[in-house]
Amino acid sequence: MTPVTERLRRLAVLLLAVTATGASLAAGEDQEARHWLDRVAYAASRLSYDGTFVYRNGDSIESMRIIHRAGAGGSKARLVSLIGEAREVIRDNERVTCYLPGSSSVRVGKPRPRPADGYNVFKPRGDFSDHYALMLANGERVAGRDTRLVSVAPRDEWRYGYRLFVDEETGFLLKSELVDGHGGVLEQIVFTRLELPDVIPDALLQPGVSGEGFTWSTSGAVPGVSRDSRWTVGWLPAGFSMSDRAADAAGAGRMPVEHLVYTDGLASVSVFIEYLDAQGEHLEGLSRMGAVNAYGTMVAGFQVTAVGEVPGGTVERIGRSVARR
Amino acid sequence: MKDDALHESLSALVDGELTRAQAEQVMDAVLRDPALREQWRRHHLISAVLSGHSGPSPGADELAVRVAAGLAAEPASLATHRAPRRRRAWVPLALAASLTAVAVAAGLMLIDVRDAGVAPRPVRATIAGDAASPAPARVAAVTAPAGAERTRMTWNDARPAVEARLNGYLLDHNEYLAGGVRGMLPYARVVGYDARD
Repeated sequence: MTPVTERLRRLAVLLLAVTATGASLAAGEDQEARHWLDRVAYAASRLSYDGTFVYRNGDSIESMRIIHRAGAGGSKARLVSLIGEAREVIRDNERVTCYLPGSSSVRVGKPRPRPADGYNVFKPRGDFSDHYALMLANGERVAGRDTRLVSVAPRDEWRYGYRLFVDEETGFLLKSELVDGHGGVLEQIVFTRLELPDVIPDALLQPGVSGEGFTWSTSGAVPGVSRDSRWTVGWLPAGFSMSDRAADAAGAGRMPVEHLVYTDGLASVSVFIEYLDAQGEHLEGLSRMGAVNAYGTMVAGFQVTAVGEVPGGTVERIGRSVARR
Repeated sequence: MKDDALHESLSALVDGELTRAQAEQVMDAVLRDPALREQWRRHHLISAVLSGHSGPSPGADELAVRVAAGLAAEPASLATHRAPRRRRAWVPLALAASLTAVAVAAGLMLIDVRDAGVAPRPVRATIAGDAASPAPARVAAVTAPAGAERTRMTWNDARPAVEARLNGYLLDHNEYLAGGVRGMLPYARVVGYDARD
């Protein structure tokens, strides 16, 4: 263990000790921290902004620009890579479009239906505090703005922690870290610039590439399609329950896919079930991309994959528990 | 001084690991060589931005691009974190005025993260350049590895069919992240993904 990780480990142990002894004291702080999380969710959907951030996932570092326009008619956002191939994602109420110029492809998905009032609320479940400890502190300055630090520490090994640096003035999330059980940062987003203009011109929300001559594909699953699932998930970490279910739209070009979503109020795990013919290459075991873990297994000719920003052990145990009725 | 040795020394200087005499020698070399100066600047920017102490950012988008691009261009000797050594007391750094300006702009502070103990302590940076009035150096905690060698973001399963399926799943999964606390940010994983064209 390097001295750096050793120090982080000690810090994590210290934080845990503080959490344990200050449980009753923390009740008020817990409420206030929840208020801040709600502010963050509100700001993310209600503010119009144009910002630049550095994104680190494992050893990979990218810089990106994000432009978001909030409005009565729904919001529209564009996220574009500033280095190398200009990959981008554009999201509005109708679709999520992902442009990948390097492979001359475009992928279109259906957005999850948003609440009628157009913004998300942080909705902790009743037992949220059984699974996470919340702490508030003064944060460092990020992109020249003062922040509050909301630390969200998991109480078991099934989920990750978060360190959220929130703009004091607006509630905007200026810096976000996903932290493992040893205090190691798995994924990090740090804004270097944030502007909050009154008007975001249409031009800024247009893709930089036309998509002309690209291969277009669509996601198979359509949110909100209700269909009795023939699949059951036998194990979930305490506090997790189903939040969404999406099912295949016939003729979408992929084999039927079922998409089940489970959440504890903060972390989410998706379980995908897809028919795969015998020749198809399938995932058996764990795969990882920075903070995201996936576990795949074959059940009765179907590829079952659990995906989420949770530890590998969590997606593995969930994935192994999936069975056909 | 040979190039490799210089890179190593530059890195040690940034980490506050040199004696005053050594530091001055390296700074002389840095002042003579524009390429080294650029490396020095990148090294600090990367540390500062990742640790969130970049302060009011000098060049908006430009800064983020320079940081990420800087990492990509970073020579291995600088980019790879050197083996930790058991270390001694704080070493004052003699910074020439031209470099002071850069350090102040980036809001830099050097902190020895490898020193034992829980709370990081700041290194006192002695500004002894030839400027008429040396500006006080604001300092930034270096909590992130200053330059892990850049690798592209991919699933660790290289089979194209599996990779494509996982990417599709990831895109769909992002739509359902709970709470909306992080808004569009999860899509950074999609944008940052190396499509391995």
